[in-house]
Amino acid sequence: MKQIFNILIIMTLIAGLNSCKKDDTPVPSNLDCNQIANGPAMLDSCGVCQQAYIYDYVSHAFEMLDDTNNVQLDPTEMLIMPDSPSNPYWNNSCVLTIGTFTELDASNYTVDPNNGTLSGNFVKFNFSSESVVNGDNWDVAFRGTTIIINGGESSNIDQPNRTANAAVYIADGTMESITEVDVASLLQDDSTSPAIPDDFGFTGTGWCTYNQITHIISPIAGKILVFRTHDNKYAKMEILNFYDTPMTSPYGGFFTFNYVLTGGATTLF
Amino acid sequence: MRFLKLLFILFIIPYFRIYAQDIEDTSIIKLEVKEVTITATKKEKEIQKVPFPVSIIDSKKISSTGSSTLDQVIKNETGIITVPTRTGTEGVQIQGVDASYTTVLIDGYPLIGRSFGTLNLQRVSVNDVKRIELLKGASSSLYGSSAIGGVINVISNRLSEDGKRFTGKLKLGSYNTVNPNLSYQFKKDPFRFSTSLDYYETSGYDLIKTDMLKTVNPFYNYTSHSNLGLSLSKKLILEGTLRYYYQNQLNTSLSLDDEKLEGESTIKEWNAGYTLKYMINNNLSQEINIYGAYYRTDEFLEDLSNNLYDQKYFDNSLVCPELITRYNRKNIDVMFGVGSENEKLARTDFLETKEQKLNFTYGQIDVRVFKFINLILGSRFDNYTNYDSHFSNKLGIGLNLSKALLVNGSVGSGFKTPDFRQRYFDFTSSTFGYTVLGRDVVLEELTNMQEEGLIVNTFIPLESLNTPLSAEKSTNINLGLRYNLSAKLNFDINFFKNKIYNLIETQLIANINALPVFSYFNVNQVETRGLEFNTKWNSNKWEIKTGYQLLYAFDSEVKESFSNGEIYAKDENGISFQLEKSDYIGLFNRSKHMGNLQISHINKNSTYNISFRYRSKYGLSDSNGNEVFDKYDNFIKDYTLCDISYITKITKHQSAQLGIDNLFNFTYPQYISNTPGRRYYLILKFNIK
Repeated sequence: MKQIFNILIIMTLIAGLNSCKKDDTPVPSNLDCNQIANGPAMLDSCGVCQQAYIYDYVSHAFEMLDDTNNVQLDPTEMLIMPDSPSNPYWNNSCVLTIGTFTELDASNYTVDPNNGTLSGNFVKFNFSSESVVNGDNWDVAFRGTTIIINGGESSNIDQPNRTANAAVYIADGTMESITEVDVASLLQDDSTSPAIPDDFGFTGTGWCTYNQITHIISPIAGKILVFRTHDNKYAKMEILNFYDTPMTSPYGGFFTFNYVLTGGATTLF
Repeated sequence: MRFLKLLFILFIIPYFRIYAQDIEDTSIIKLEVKEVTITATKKEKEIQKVPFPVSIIDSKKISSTGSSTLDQVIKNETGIITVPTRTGTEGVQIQGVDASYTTVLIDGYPLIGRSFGTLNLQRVSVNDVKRIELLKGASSSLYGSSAIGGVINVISNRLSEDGKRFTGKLKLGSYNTVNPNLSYQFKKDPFRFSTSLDYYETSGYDLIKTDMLKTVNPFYNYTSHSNLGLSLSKKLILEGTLRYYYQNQLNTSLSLDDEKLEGESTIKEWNAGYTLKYMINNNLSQEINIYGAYYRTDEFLEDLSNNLYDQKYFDNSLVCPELITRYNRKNIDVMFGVGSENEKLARTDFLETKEQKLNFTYGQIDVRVFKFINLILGSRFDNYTNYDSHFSNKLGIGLNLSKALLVNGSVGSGFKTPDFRQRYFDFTSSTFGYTVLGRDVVLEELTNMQEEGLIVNTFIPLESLNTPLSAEKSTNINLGLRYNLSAKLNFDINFFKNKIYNLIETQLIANINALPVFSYFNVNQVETRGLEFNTKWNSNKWEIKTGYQLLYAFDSEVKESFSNGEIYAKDENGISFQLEKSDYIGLFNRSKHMGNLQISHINKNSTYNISFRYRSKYGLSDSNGNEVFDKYDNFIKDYTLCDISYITKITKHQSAQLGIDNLFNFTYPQYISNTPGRRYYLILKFNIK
């Protein structure tokens, strides 16, 4: 089931990319969104190209179809059209997951004031499961003020290996005003620094500011983190607080954040 | 303690002695003398004729407030607030312009020794002061760098007629404050001499009892200050001033493990200025000034087992010779000055002693046309040997529409060269690990670090650090009028506008490992504007003075960002929302409305004083995630401070004063560190002539 689902996603993604490419040149009106002349594929309202498929309700096998003409169905098979009410994938990626994660504990870190080296474990978060994870299925990981993603390269030996193709950028706005992912702005971590600048709040280019008098780290207002997740969905996140309540550590590292996750490859929130 | 006993003997004994001879108080005879200012034009000029905003605090006013130091006196003035600096000292904000842009003079000579750009006004004793002049607005055309917000000139007592005067004063107050002062003035042509000795001791105060540190640690200081004048001939006059100041204060801090650290901090300061004046003829005179100043602080901290934890010093000196030529005829006064300045600074976190040399020349023309128009035009050229040179200009026009009414306008420019810290600082915080590098050393230091193999990750192109910092510059406009409605009632109103650009601030430039490195950049542009209104009414028995300032102060770029909808704020749940143009309030620590009211009731032998100071609400720091001050931020609520005092004459030359400062016992421990609670004091004073 999962495999099929992945295949489906990859196919829709390819379809999506293809459609992007072709946008530059006039598309003959008889091509469907899967680039098949007079094909049955259709864009759903989330902008994802959905194909017709054959579903075996005994073996649960799928067979994607470019063309529904002359299809022979076995007795246990049924033809599912893209916009059929029985197609669970139709408009599936517009089903948004909205949540708040309270006090993700990334406080177990230390800074050596002599040489500035940080040590401690990164805490990994998975948007789809809405939980902290230990495996490679993470999207974003936290340690103190540092935020890394599961995509790109590691800039420090303490960091977990990147196993997926996640990406991120910081958008200016509010959770409501960021309604679409600007795919071109997505960045990945590189060997010199994470995609989200790890500036300890000193420059205003990251997600937080540091007050040199009170020594408090505050999330910057109007900064929304926009992610591509390891499983090729999109998410937006606003960090609300860096401290736990009641405060147990003046050094913080407790992330409370709001997030919205798409159900699939759609770039619309 | 023995010192205290000695002082008591000195003071209390003369207090009970009766003097046979009665000498009239000269201040009563001189009541008719018109108020003059020397700061506005570097020559004595009647205040009613000066086309710049100037205010005078006379000795009577100073003593009615019971103040010991300059910061205490000056905060009673309209539009002035004293602001605590990062090191716990107090600077002064004028017309909403930050404390680091003010020049403070003692008898015309500038103080040095700025901490984070700010001069500490607590250093200046006012026990032996004749008057304090406050010139508002940019005055670099006369005073060079740092005269952007204004100039404060503290003029010490001296006799203008033959005689002698010995004054003793003892102030005892809350927080174990002991402040004795002895002063002596003598004049017998051709010789004039005055000297004073001031001692101040306090146990400090603690606004937040729950933490391990006191708000202000106990300290003692003393000042000795002498002036002399000698007419060598009818044409040749020698004048000199010498001041020495020493302070010793307990120094405390906390280590990284919250262990208490204790030590000592000391300040030593010398100021010496000599002038030789030569009157060539009735119209032409020349004077040679030589001024030297030295300021040194030393501080250290030890842990509980007396191991040295931290040690710092700051060693600043200035030598300034100057030649001034003056020419005056009936309707024209011309002044021309040339001079040079050599300032040195050696301190912890500097690689070596740094030096700045300056040659300057300035001129001023003061003309009276059609009898009622006064034009003052001043210009100064500052030529730094290792820095950009500057022209500063000032033009003032005064229209004496009647004897009682002066309408005036002035335009001036000001500048402040980057200070030594902004150019040569080489500092790494032992507690937080960050590094700050002055603009003149940053490139070399970063290159060294890279060569040493430290991982240096730069955020900006290094070539952009190749250019030196520019001076902070300002323009200032004042438009006002002074009206003496009658001998009893007068008022003045002044509209002002200051624009300061190229403001220097720190910005992150690189990371060494993960630790930030900062340097200095010219970034912001701020503007302050508003109006000031003062009025004074007096009768035989009453004197009422009141003042008001309206102020708008903002950062021009921030204002634009608000207009463009680029600024957001966070609500109490941490959720962002967009702000509108009208949500911007302005700069931190500026109140839109400030006012004061002073009422004195004067009887034959006693005076009652009450004074109020009001500040409307203001912000001290951002509280909603955008680093700027908007209407959703936390405010410091408006507040009023009230002082009262009662002065009584015991004999012709003895008086006592009782007073309470901060009668309402207003404090705001977390945010306002320079306002302790209610304080009581007693001042005993005697005069022998």
